[in-house]
Amino acid sequence: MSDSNRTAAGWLLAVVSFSVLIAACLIGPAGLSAGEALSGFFSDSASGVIVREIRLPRALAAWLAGATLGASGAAMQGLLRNPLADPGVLGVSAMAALGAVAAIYFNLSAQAPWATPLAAILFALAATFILQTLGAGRLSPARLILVGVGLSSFSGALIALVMNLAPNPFILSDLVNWLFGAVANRSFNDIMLVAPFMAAGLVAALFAAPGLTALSLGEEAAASIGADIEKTRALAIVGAALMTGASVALAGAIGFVGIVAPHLARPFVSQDPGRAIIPAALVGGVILSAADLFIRLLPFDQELKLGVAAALIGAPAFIWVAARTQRIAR
Amino acid sequence: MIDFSVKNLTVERKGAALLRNFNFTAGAGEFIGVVGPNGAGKSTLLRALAGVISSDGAVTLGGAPVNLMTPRERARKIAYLPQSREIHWAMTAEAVVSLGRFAYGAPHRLAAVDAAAVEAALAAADCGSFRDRDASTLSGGELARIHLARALAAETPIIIADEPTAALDLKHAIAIVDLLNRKAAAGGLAIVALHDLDLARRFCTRIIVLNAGELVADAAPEAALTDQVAREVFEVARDARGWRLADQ
Repeated sequence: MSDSNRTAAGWLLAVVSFSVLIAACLIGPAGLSAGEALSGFFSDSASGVIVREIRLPRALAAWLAGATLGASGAAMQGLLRNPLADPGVLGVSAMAALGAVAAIYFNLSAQAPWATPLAAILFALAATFILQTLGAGRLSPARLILVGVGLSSFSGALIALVMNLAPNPFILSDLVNWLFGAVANRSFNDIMLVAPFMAAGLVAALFAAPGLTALSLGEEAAASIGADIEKTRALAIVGAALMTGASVALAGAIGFVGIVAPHLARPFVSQDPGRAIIPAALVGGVILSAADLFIRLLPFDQELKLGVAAALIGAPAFIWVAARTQRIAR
Repeated sequence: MIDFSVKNLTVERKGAALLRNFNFTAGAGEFIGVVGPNGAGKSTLLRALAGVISSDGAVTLGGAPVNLMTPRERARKIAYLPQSREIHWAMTAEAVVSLGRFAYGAPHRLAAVDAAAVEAALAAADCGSFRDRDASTLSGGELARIHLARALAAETPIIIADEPTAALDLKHAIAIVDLLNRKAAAGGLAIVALHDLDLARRFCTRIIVLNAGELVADAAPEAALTDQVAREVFEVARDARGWRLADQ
């Protein structure tokens, strides 16, 4: 794909993102007309409250959660040279979810709203710290993934334990709602709590980008052409941890976006893993915000959870990618 | 001028020495063949020389320790061709060769001088006919040439290559060794692990023989690759029809 086509594709993704966000603000059960909704952006009327404080933050939350998952996935795939890697595979998502679940269980979330994001991000960082420590920064991709599988299972067991011990059905219902992944009822305050971590994570991942491109040749060749492998690894892992923790805190555990978004983005950048990060973020944002809009339009009494919808589409896509992948990083 | 010096180079992993007290100096115009049986420490030596693994001892270039250079500084002086020819992701052959200019700037937007180096390398390694192909569809010989072109594109005074002829037919093997020989003759330094003793004898200016992590011989080809070395190190002998096992 030529440079001009790539630029056009980038603009197209940005325009689609913007359109989905606007559409999400115009459509909803309150039955506002498009004109009422649009004027709501600029007025303090009831429609203003609905558009600015309910629809827009929800749509933005879905977009941001998808974008950071997409960017994390692109960074992890570049680092591990494996199109099936993502924060979910490495156990970072599961650990972040465990952190958030613990915050809910111990009632910290009820006392301080920032306890959930903080716990999710801290646990995501702890997961990457464990990954780094166990391998002293020198784990082969295959072993790193196996450690991630272990971390996922362990976090899953602890989450199940917490749910098992839930003192009352209300906390259990809170946990289940949150674990399924949802962006309903998110406010700008929720977004502002996690946005700095998302931004910091994206910056770290972008600093790792040239090294990720070099890693296409394997670690020894990448080091020999001038890439700083240790720095690249640290930046990519910390960047992915910050973005994943923040995304999980905002929207719960949503799988597969981190695998599917980079897969769709890569053809736009000649398969270059370093340059796939931003396009993967745009694609991820479009996927989740469009999925959330779709959910809101379904005529069910009980709203479908975003994480459930993402998995219903994402899991078959994951299997498709897995079946098409010829070479797995050794 | 190239002044490449190795003093007391030792590489240990898990308490076992893969390479013990290795010393040599090399300069411009030399094409050094590193030979030895499997497990002799050839790859370990080349990795340590290229600075991609940690080692004890001193590897210096022009008096400057290689392990104190930044990765980019080192990459502008020493090109390294690992044995593995892995290319992840479906990149074009040309994109792989362009990565040879990584140490000179952004990998995506090549300056004119970088683009010229990539062109020259593609031509030198005879990769022009498949430069636009997805690297995952290339044959073993094409892949070997692409990786060689990637190393050549860096335009470094020193090239270190780990069995660049492995799994190649004779014509392609000779073409690659001949190319490295010409790079050395033009004022460069090539240090190349080879399994084919005949190729080494014909094209190298100097041979280093390794066995079990130790230096056995370091001399001109005829002096290094003696019948005794063949028998004791490689456990083979030569008769009128070619190589055979030494004890038969």
